[in-house]
Amino acid sequence: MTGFESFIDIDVYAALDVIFLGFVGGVLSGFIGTGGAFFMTPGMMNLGVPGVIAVGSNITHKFGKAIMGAKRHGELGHVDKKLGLYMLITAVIGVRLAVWINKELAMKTSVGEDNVVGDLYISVLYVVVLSFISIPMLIDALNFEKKKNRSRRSIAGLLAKIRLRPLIYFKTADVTLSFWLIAIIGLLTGFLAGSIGVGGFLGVPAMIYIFGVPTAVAAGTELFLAIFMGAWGAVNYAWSGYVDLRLVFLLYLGSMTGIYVGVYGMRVVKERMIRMITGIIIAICVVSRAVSIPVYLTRMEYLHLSPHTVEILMVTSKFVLFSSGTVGVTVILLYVVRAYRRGRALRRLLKNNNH
Amino acid sequence: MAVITISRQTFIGGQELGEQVAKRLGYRYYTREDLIAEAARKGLPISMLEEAASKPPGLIEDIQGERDRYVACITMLLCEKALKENIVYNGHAGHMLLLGIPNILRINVIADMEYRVRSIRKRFGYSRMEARKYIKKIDEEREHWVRFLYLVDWHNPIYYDISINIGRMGLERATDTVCKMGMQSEYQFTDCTVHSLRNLYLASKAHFVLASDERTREGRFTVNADDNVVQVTSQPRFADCLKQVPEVLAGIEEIREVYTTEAFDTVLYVGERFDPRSSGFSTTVAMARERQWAVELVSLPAAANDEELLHVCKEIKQDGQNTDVAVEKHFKEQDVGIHLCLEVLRKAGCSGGSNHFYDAPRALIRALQRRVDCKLLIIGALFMEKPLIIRKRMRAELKKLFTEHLRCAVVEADELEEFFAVKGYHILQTVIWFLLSVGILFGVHEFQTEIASFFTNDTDMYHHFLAIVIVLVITPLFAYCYGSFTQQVLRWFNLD
Repeated sequence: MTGFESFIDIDVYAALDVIFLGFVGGVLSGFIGTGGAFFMTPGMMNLGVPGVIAVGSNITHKFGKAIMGAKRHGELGHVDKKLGLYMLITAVIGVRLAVWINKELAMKTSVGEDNVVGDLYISVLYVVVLSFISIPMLIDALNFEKKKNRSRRSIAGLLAKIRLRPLIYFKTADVTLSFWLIAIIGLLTGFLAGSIGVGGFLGVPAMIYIFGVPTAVAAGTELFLAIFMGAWGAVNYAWSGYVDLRLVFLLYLGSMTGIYVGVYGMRVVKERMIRMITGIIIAICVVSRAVSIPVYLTRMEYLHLSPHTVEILMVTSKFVLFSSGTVGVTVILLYVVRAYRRGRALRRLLKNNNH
Repeated sequence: MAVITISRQTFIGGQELGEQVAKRLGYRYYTREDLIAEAARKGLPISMLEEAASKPPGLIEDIQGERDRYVACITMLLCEKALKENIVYNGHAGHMLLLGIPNILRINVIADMEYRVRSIRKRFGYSRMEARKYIKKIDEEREHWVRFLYLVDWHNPIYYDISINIGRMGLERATDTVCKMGMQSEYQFTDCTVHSLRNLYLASKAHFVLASDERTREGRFTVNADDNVVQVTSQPRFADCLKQVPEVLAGIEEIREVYTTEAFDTVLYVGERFDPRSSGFSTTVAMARERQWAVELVSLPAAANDEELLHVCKEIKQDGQNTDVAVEKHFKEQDVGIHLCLEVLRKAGCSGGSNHFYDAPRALIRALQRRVDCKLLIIGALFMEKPLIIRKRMRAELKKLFTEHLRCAVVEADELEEFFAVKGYHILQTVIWFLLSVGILFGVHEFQTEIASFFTNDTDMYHHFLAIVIVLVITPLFAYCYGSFTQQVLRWFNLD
């Protein structure tokens, strides 16, 4: 079990850091339509928050944010509640499994000062999962023209062929799906959400490309699902004392504003640029986490790095992550401001002409 | 003139049915393969698209541009043929290509599995098991194809006029049924059909040209046409491509004028009458200008009776030709209003073009269900010939119908201002949300040591349960208060 000392001291600078993480996470979340945790959780770990608390606080943060998002999508008819609830059946198992693993690893090492095995596990999982996402994204953005006639064979294609009975029709999404396919995707989504908070990275593309659900409905349904996954994850982590409410609220301060900026940015930035910015930021998050892995291995005494090297690696990890967020968000903000000003100028011009 | 579209399962004799019907009615028969061959000659990568449809794309691959290009090309070719002669079109999803065009007979031909297995065994000499496997594979590919292109389930009966079980009826009786239906006046072209078809033809042609041209192929456009005037709309991120549109479309002879609009969202303004001086329309224009919307005018015919939103007034001329006299008269009267409204919208830089819709609202819903670009539907002047109380009821029913079936917000034009307005109580609400958020934050900050020790205290079950309750109540409460506050503030700056 975690102890009181596992919660970090939050002074003004730490609070500003967390708000910044929330803002960047919110902007990216609005910008790409899902996620944000891929930046916030490692960011919190860089501030000294143990991995399991960073994940627990982030999933709690996602729970409240999803309520707001799903409400808005629901008003627009973009939520297939039936599909969300079917996915939830196995997603709760995935979340529970993830929490159990995180908790067991954290408990094993809490005798000392930190949860080093848990942090190592979360970092490795981040590096593996986010590499799978960012590398194809960057290749795709760099070969935007060339890729058009490429032959493709994907796991998604194989999964989409699963038509094992029972088959269920989902009215809002207008698709008929095998229960077993939904069960697999639900389980994996839940596991990733519970482990590192990036369930949406799997859930949304899976709904679009494997289930054939329209993009808007996929995003809305994932948010609906995230309410329950988030609540269930929050319950599980809070039960074990791994939720830091102070971090949750500070993240909200940044993310609630950031998300609107991100959505605005998505509509004014070119598709290729969106992929490029997102791909680079995710890749840098991977690098940032990868850099911290030797630190954990040193603490576990598998590696023998000098304290000075460990210090350099920790600072590098933090610097790389925060600077990538700053640069990425600045680029998006520049686009947003430019488009906003251009729109205003255009309307003013038309108004003057009409007069 | 007339068009009959046949969508069918594999190996049930759909080909024979199409040929028989065409022969008996004296119509020209086209298959999907005919149009595909023509499309391939125009440079469409058909095999790549077919592969994309049968095998879902990788997680980040985008082939929307090629898909739009294909749909535009096939629609253009089908419209071109339908405008020249009577046709029977046999294809996977012909019924979706001409969605929204009235007086088209859309047939779905089905048969039970046993009939199909027999048919395929006779043709290829497969074993029963092989035949079933083959049918399943082809059905799946076809299903993916239709969903990939039109985002709908092709089995859904709402898109057809009739489903025929050829396994039970047999080819002869099925042919009789289709021919009898096809000869009915309901399924003969009227001036309205031709008008709609011409508009669709021109819009598809323009879209195809834009999707094929190097200068504009990376853009994503909404294109519509009315009386040889083409309106192209796209989001600000494709502003560079949009600038090139007039130049790219200059080569199309039929086009009289091209208008382009850069907008964040498309808003539909549905009405049977359009008056640029009406308060509802003026509010719409003001909001559109402020929020950078493209407003697309959708003209509906006046409903003939208050019983249904389903029927429109139709009269049959003495010579037996169905001319939708009332509908045509209505549209001629409304043309002036629409043109004036479009003029106002263009001056305000927020025109999304116009669309005449010659069918009942339910059919409009079918056509709009595929529209993913539409953010808001505004109900303008409808049922104006009805007494006020009936009009109110009918508008409420229509609003409910739209809300249930469309993936966008629905609002009446008169309520638009209120829908987006910032009023005194909004400011009060915002202040309350702000104070609540600050209060919660202050509390958490002041008692952070106590909170931290409380959450990590594992001495008894009571603490665990209380911790969960606090997390489940306080977190969404704070998210709601602070989220609503942020949303309201950003709304004042039109950033929501």
